[in-house]
Amino acid sequence: MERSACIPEIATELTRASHENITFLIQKVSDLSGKAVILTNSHNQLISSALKDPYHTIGSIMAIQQLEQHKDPSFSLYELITDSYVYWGWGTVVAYDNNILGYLYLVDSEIPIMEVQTQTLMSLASLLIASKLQMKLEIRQEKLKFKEPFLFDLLYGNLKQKDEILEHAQIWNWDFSLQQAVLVFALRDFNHYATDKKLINKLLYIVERTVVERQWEPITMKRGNQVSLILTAKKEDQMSLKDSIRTIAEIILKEMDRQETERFFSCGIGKTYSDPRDLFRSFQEAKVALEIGELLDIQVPYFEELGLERILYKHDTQDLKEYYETILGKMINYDSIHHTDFTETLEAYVTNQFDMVSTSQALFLHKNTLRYRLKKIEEILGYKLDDINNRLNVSAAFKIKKMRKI
Amino acid sequence: MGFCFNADDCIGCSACEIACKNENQTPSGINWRTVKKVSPELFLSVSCNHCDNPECFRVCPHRAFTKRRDGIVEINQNLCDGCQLCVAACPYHAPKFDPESHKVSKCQMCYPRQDTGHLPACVEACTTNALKLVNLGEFNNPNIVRSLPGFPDISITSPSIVFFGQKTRKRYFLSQGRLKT
Repeated sequence: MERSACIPEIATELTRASHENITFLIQKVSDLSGKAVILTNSHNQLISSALKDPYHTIGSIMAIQQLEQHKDPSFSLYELITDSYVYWGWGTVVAYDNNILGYLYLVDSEIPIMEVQTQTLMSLASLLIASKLQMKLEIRQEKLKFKEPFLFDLLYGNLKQKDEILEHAQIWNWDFSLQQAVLVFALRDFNHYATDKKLINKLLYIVERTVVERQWEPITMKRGNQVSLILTAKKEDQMSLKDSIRTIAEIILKEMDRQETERFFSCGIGKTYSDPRDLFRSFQEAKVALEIGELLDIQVPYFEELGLERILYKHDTQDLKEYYETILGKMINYDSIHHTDFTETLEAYVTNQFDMVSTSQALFLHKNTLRYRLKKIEEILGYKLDDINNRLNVSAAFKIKKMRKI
Repeated sequence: MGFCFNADDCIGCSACEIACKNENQTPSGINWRTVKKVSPELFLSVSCNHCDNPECFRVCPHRAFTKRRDGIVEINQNLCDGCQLCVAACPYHAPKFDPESHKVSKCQMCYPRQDTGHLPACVEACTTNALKLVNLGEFNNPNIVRSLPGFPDISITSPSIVFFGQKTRKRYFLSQGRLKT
């Protein structure tokens, strides 16, 4: 009776360590087991690690492979390939109320033998870690309850006082005192009732992961088929915010394309503002850029780089049609009557910056043939193509066509 | 929240327009909701569509617009200086400029009524139930369309309105006392 009432020393030490943070608890498990310890989340991404060599760190886990299962099915032998080393060790699930919160691995540079003491240690440690992770999750969910309304109000301009915004943002350690911009990612052909909501959750996860990997605070909001991300400038960052945004947007789109090859994801980027009260403008601009970017096939469209399209998109459709007819109407008529393709030739000439050499290469035409065609186009249209004003008109007309206004 | 307009049921009675004017007591010549005839058999009842991406909102230099969490786009007239940039930016011509007060006003989806559990005046007044208020986040019907002929371009702004288009009707003739199609 006395023996069973006695709490083992390991349990006491682990419980005491669990009063501190997770890193401390992991370190304690490592000290008690004499092995390196790796803790990952449910997506097998590193949360914390305690290695024997203090100068050695794990950046990320590249792959985890299950080698064999122990007699006790809650333990398995794994091979963990990290960015620097390959480890072997026993792993167990960290679960709370049947929800998997992560995985705990006791690893070594060689395949270790599973001892009863290690098994007990891992079981107890996984229980304590599970309660810590669950607590973190609950705090996060509680914060989220306030985060979403705050971000909605911020992105829809409902907060009119700068101090109020800065003060609120402090709750999540966000600094809006420097420059910031909004990026919007969207899934095309979104369906409320299909599995698309899961895809949006995945997009949100990828966005947050990419941002966190680059030591940025993930300030994100999910709404309908869109995930919005606010990126704030960092004092110590040498790279301009605009360049960082482009890099992040490209990585996220590339990752989503890789994972969901059959769906199309796009993004738009608003202007950079230094006053957080103007973030709603950046948000709206990002959405405009997103839509125009989809129409014009621009992978990462910046609102401020859109140029003429910014004026054209909100212009009266009838007026634009008339303009298009006036500029290119004669040639389109000629093409339809004579079954020629002068419109395509001129479009290629415009796309290639009115450069004869690159257009002839793009169209697989001899330069003289192209020269002849352009001369003929000038005759049909009734104006010269070397005039800068005519060039502007023609390229605006093709932009109107591309923007599906025609 | 958003509107759902059934073009087939609208008879162009303008009850929505009158109810809106009566409820909001808008000045003479300013109608937040208007009914227009776009073709011999098609009427459209148009007001502010409380867009998801409101352009009025983006262009306002005084940050006078806000979007409530239920989606209603409001304008704070105290912040408005009558520059009319929103009037030019809105494809639906929803913001109305009052030359007397030199301010812009627009449909606020009768939020004081909605906050007390009532429907907007236009929806309640609709004699044929052609105009309804729906939760667009949940509302789904295979027959709804995002736009109708005569409705302005919905690209960019993403208005909070959906439509039921007109159905092709059969014509019936009386022939020797019997109904024939």
